[in-house]
Amino acid sequence: MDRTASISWFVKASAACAAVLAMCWIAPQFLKDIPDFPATTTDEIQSKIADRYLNSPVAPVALTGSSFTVRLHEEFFHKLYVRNLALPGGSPLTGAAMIEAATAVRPRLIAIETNTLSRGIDQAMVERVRTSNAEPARAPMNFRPLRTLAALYQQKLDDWQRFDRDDKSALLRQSALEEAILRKPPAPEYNPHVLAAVLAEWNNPDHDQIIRRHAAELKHIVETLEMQKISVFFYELPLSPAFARSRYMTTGRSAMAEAFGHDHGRWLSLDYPSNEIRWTDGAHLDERSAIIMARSLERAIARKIGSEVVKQTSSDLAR
Amino acid sequence: MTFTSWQFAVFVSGVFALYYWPLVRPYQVYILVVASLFFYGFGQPELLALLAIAVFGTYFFLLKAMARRKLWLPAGIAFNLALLAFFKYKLLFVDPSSPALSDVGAIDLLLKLPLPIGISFFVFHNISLLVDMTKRTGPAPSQWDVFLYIIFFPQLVSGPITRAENFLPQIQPKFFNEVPFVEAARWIVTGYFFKLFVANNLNTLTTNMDFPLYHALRSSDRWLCLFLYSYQIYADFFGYSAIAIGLGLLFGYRLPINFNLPYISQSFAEFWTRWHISLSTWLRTYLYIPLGGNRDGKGRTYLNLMIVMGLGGLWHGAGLSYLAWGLMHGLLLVIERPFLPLIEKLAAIAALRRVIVATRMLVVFLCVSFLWVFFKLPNFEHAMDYISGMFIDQSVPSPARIYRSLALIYAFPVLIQHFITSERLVALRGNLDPFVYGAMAALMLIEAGPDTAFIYFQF
Repeated sequence: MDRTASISWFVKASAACAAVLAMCWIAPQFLKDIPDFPATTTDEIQSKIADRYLNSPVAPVALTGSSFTVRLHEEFFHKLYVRNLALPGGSPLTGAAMIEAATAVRPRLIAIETNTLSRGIDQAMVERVRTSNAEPARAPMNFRPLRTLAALYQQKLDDWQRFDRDDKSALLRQSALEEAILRKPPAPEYNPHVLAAVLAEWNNPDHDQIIRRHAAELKHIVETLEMQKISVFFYELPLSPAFARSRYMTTGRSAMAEAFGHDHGRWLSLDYPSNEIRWTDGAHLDERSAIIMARSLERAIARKIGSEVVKQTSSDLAR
Repeated sequence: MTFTSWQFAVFVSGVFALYYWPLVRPYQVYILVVASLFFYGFGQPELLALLAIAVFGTYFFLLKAMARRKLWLPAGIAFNLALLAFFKYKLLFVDPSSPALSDVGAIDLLLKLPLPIGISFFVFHNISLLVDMTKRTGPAPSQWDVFLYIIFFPQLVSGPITRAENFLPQIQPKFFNEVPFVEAARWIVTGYFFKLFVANNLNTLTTNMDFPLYHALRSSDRWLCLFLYSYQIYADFFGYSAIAIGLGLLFGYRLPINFNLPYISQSFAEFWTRWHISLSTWLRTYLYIPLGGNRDGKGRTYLNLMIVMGLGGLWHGAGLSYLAWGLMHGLLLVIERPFLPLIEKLAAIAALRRVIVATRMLVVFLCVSFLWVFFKLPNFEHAMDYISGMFIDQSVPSPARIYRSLALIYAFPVLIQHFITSERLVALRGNLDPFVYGAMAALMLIEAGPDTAFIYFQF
């Protein structure tokens, strides 16, 4: 290819590249409600959870935790208006620190899961929330045309999954769905060979120091939140017996006792039929058990705070 | 420094500008050597010493072997294999995280050194250099030329494995107006597109194959992930090789093509002429043929195939999974060999041709995909557990969700590339060629998946 032809090739290629980039920059400025594909990576999922927390109406109750609490979907809470800020692959400390950083969004009560204390605060995520306080939500600049096409298709498939708390028929549908799941028998026990392999990691003493350090950090965050008049309670989600007895969990419990003393008033007392609870991997609740535990957690929170926020809906809060 | 980092873009731009500056033309080889050392030492400066030992050691053996080949060639090969064996297989015997491994500090330091990136590749370059150069008569290549051949940065980390007899003659003064810019741009854009758009996005789906996540996959999703991983590993490694070839062209060096649509292969023997061509060529030239190849009867040929593929598997890593992967490929080559003439005869019947071709492609693709599980799950038990779960529909209480729409979008470029013939692809592109590459460049920027290391870096 001679020099002129080469230059012509590069000019055309650059023009095509610039045109596609410009289209992707302009499209979000003019098109509203561009469908967004469900997040598939941990980073994407965590970012979406943080954005949703910042941009949704303030709920009086917030949950923070790890993938264990992620299973407790907000729609499982019928009487309490709950915002679930649990981060899959993340830490309950990050969620608590994000709430502390998001000064524009103030829940009245935070329930913190204590199953996962080995992970520390994700400072980048907290900083992201802190800077968002000063800036209004913007249209996404990273419009991805092919992913949007897939999202359109996926949205049609998953239309039933959209849940609107103020939509009475949606609430009824959700209740019917949950009742149908609850009528089924508990799922069979999980593959014991897999449990043994994962459990070995849970009994690894390497986590001990880090868990104690994070419990101390949690104490600091809790004190800051309480100074801002936010009530903070803890809860531990049930695990299969071998996991509940593991070194990881016993260390976590003793670290929490060291940091917070034996103040039983801080803990949410969960009542549930333990023989009905099942896990997908010995630690994460299956859907049926998650519904049972969400209802149990709802009752425990209601006992702590009385009934004043129990029947609040988003429309009440918007006034 | 990886090919996908912004630091690399700055680095290449800087080196390119300096390289073609007329005043420094006599020093082009030195510039590339220094640039390659900087590239290699950027992430692991402590391993530059090892690279120096490998290069100077090989050069020493080369000089000696050019005088007395019989004695010094095996010694040079042994020296390189020892380096490879020490760094690659020491982890089978020692745990580097232990506070003290021996009572001698220097030995501890050596034992604790991480696996040098690209060692499998530059050791093979070294052996090629020793064998090729000592076959011919004439003066030994200069030390700087040898240095450049071994550590030329586009091919240093993951190949393509270039043969010395193909690379060394290319070391000549290079001129800016001789750079095939369009060809280089096509390779580079294609490579980045396959890495950033295809491989990195597919990786977000195939991470579900990792232990213990795969237990949350239904058997149908295990099958889907298996195929997606096949596409991912191809896109990842083809992408890397394409970038390397493009970069080589920018600096005036033509590196060998490493992939030629491997998933349309109709036999396992053909697959190995299309997948990681530079490795299979190396193994055939420096291992299979010296072992006797197919010259000593059927039994010996089969044994040679098993040895070569078994060692090829171990070259990837120290583990039962890699050995099993290699041996199973060897077994497939052995099993198909006696049937190939019969299949070819059947394929010659016009009425059966299409069915036979499609069936052969499907069988090869299925078997190759199955064996990639041993790459994805280097723990042999996990790999077998994954495979067994593909055939037994286990109850998965809360299964992971693999989005078919995303899978199709990200696998699509691999499918197009394989199933539309290159002639038709060229005809389809026609005058649109630059626009297609421009759009690909934009898409790889906008729709890039989360950054992940090249799969072959671990080897």
